[in-house]
Amino acid sequence: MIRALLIVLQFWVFAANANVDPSNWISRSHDVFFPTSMSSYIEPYQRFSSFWWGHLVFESPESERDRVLAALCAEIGGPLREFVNRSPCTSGLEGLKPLLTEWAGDIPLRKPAPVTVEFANRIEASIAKASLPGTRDLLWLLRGDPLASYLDLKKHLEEISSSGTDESSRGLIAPPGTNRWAVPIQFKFPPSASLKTKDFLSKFNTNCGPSAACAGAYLVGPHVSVLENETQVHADLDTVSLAGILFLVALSGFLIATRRKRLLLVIFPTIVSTALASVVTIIVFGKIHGLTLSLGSGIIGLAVDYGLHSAFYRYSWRANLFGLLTTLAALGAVAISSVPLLGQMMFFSGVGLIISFLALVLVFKFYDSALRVEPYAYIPHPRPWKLVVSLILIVAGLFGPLLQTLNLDLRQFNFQQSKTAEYQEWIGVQMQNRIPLIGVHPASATLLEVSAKKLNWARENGIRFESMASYLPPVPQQQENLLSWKPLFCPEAVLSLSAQQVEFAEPFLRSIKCNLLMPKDILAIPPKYVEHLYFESSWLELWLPRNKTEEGLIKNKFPEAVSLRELAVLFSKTLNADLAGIIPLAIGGVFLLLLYQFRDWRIALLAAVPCWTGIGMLMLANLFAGGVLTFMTMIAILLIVGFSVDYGIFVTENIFRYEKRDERGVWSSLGISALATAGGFFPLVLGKHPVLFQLGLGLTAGVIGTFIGAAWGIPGLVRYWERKSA
Amino acid sequence: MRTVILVYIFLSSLAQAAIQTKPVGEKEFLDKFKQYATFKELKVDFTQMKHIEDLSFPLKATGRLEVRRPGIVRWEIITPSRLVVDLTPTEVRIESGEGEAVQKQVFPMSKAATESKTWNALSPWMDLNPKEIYSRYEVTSEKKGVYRMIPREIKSSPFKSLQITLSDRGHIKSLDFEEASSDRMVFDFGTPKIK
Repeated sequence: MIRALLIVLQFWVFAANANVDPSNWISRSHDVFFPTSMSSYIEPYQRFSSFWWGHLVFESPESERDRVLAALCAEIGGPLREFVNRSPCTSGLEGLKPLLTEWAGDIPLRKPAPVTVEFANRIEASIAKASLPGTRDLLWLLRGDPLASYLDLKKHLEEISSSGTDESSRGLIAPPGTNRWAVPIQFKFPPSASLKTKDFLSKFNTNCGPSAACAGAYLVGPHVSVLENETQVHADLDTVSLAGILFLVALSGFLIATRRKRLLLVIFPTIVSTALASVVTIIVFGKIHGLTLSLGSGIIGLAVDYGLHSAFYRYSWRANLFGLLTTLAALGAVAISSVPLLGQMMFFSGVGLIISFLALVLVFKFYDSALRVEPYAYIPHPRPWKLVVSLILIVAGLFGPLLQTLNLDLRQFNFQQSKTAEYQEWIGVQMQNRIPLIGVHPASATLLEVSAKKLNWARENGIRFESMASYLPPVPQQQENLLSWKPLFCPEAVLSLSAQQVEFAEPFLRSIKCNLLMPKDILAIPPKYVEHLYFESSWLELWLPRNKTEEGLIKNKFPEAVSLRELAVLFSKTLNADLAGIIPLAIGGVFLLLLYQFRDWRIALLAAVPCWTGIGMLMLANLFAGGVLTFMTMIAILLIVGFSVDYGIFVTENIFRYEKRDERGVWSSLGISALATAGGFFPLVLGKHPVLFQLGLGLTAGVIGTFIGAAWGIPGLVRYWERKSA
Repeated sequence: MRTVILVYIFLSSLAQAAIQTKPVGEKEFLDKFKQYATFKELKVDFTQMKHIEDLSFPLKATGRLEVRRPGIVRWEIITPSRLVVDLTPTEVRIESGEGEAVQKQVFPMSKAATESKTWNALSPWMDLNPKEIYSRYEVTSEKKGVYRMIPREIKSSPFKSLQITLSDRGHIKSLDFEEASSDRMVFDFGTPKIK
C-alpha cells in the first residue's frame, strides 16, 4: 500500500514539477486572465510590433551615461543583435536598408516630381553631404535616396516617438536632476515569446551585466511582465506542490501517530482522482494552467473529506452527496465567469471532486468495514463565548463585503517584482502617462482613404497620429503624383543631369522605372515601412494624445479608438458583470439545495451558518492583507459558500435527523476534514502570484471560519433555540 | 655577392624606416601646435577631396572652417552646393540646400549614436584642440612637419589613420584621413586668420 502511495506521490510530483518538457501540457501564459470578449483589444498588443517596446533602466550619473550607452550599444550591435529591432544604438542604418530602399523608391507615390533644376540641386546637395566624413552606409543612403526623402521618414518617426524630455532627441528617458535614466528597446519578438525574453536577459547579464557599465541595468515592459508572471507561476507551482506533499505527509503522520493509519487508504484514491482530473482537464482544454494545477493540493484536501466523513461517521453518504452538490453548484456558478482561468480551475476542481467522490463510494462499498475507524474523543460542547465568537464572524460575514472596498483592477492578475513595479511606475510618469489610443481595422478597399481623412483631421488639430496613411496617400493622390513623374521617366529617363550626378544617383535612378510608376495596393503587398502597422489582414491605427484634452477630442470624434486605460475599465466592468451573475447563482443554487435537503427554511438557514462564519473569517483575514476585496477574494467567498454548507448539513442532520446518535463520529469527521481542507489550501498562501495568494488566504481562512461556525455556531444556536422554546 | 648587397640594402632601408617613424611625445606635439592652443577664434578656407572606391570621380568641395572657442565649430561647404555643419558639445546640425529645398538634420553628439560617431571622432580636429587630439592618437613623425596618427581606440574609431602636414609657419597645411571604409579624405587649408 505504501509503495502504491509512493508511486502516486511520485506521479504528482512529476505532474507538478513537470521535469519532462512540461510546455506540451502545462501553460503559464497569462492570456488566461483575460475574458474572451477582451481578446480583440488585447491581441493588438501582442501582434503589432509597435507595442514590442521595453525600457532598460539604469542608475548612474549623467557623466557616465555616454560610457554606459557605448557599452550597451556594443552588446546590442553584437551578441544581442538577434533580439533587438530598434534602440537608440541602432539609430543608424543597420537593418533598415530594405525599408529605406522601398521608401526611397516609393517617392513618386508620395510627392510630385521636383522640377528638373530642383532635381539636379537635390542630387548636388546629396553629393555635398557625401563629401563629408561618413560611413559607407551613409553613402549608400545618399546615393539610394538623393532626394533625401529619408528625412521625411525620420521627421515623422521623431514626431511620433518624442517623449518630451531633454534627452528625447537621443531616444533616452533621462529627466534632469536624477541618476535614473532609461533606454527604450524594441524587441524583434512579441511579449508572449517569453523564452526569447529569457534568452535576451541571460545573454545581456552574461555579456554586459558583469561590466561596470551595465551593472544594475533593469529591464521593464510587457516582455518582462509576461516573463515575470510565467516564472512566478512556475515557482509557485513548485512551492505549492512541495508544500502540498509535505502537508499530505504530515497528515499521514498524524493519522499513523493517532493509530488511524487505515485512513491513508482514503487519501490514496483522492490523490489518484485529482491526478486523473488533471488529465481530463488537459484533454478538454488542450493544456492545464500552472495556477490550475496549483489548486491540486486544495482539491485533494477537499475531496478527502468524503472519505474521512465516512470513515468516522456512519450516516455520512447522504450528507456527502448534498455536500458535493452544493460545492458543484458554487463551482458551476463560478465557472460561468468570462475569465478563462476560472473556468478551467472550476472544471478541474469539479471533475476532481466528482471522480474522488465516485472512487470513495466504490472503495467504501467494497471495504467499508476495513476503512472505518474509531472516532476521536472530541466533542465541542456549546459555550456562550463560542457562540459570541460565531456571531461576530456571522456579522463580519454579512457586513464585511459591504464595508471593504471592491477593487477589480486588472493588476490583481499581474505579478510584478517590487523593483519592476517601481521602474514601471517611473517610466509611466516620465512618459507623462500618455497612453496611446488604438484602433484595429480589417483590410478593406476604403481603409487607406478613411485613414487619410483621419490623418488630415489629426493634422488640423495638431494631434499625433500613426497609420498607413502617414506613409502613403490614397490612390487618387498617388495617381496625381505619378502624373508629374511620368514625363521624366517614360519611356526613358530624360533628366538634365551631369554625368557625375547620374553616376552618383545611379542606385536611385535605377529603381524608378517607367513601367513601375503605378499606384501601390498597400493592402495586397504592404511595404516594409508599414510593417509595424499590419498583422495578417488587420491594420493598426495609433493616436498619440499629449494630454487629456487631445484624448477627449479623439474619443469624441472616433469613439472606437481605445486605450489601455479603457481596457482596464472594461476589464473591471466585465468582472463586475461576472460577479453580478455568479453571486446570485451560487448563493441561490446552494440555498435551494439546502431547502430541498431539509424542507425547512429555518434548518436550511442554520445549515448556512458555517458559510457566514467562513466568509466572516475571510473578511477578518483580508483586513490584515490590506482590506481590499479583489476578484479572487470574491471567488474564494463563492467557493466557501460551496463547501462550507457541507459542514452545516452534517451538523444539522446529526442534530435533527439522527438526533445526535453519533456525536463523536460527526465531530471527528468534520475536524479532520477541516484540517485536511485547510491544509490543502494553505500551500496556496505560500504562492507569490496574487491570484494564488488571494485565493489561498481566502480559502484557508474560510475553512477555519467554517469549522468555527459548524462546531461553535450551530450547536450554540440550537441550544439557545431549545432554551428559548422550553 | 649580389645577395650580400641585397641584404645590406634591405637592412639599411629598415634602419632608414626606423629613423623616419619616430614616436612624438606629448610635449613635442603640443609645442608644434602651440599656435592652436590659445586662440579664441579661427577662420580658414579649405579644399576637400573625398576619394570613394565606388565612384569614378573624387568629390571635390571648397569651403570655410570657423572655430569659436569654447566649443563652437562651423564647417561650411560653399561649392558645389551649400552645406553647413555646426558642431557644439551637445549636438551636430547639418543644413543643406537653399531656399525651399533647404534640409536640416540635428542629432546629438554621442559616442554611442551611429550617426554622430564620425563627428564625435572628428570634433577635436575641427576644434583644433592639440591636447585632445594627442589623447586620442598615437603620434609618429615621418619627416619634418609630417605627422602620422593612429587612433588609440582603433576598433571604435571611424578612421584608420590620419596624416597631418604643417606649413613652415606652423599652421596645418593638409589633413589626410583614411576612413574605416578605406575611403580617403584630403583637406588642404589656406592660411588661417587667428584671433
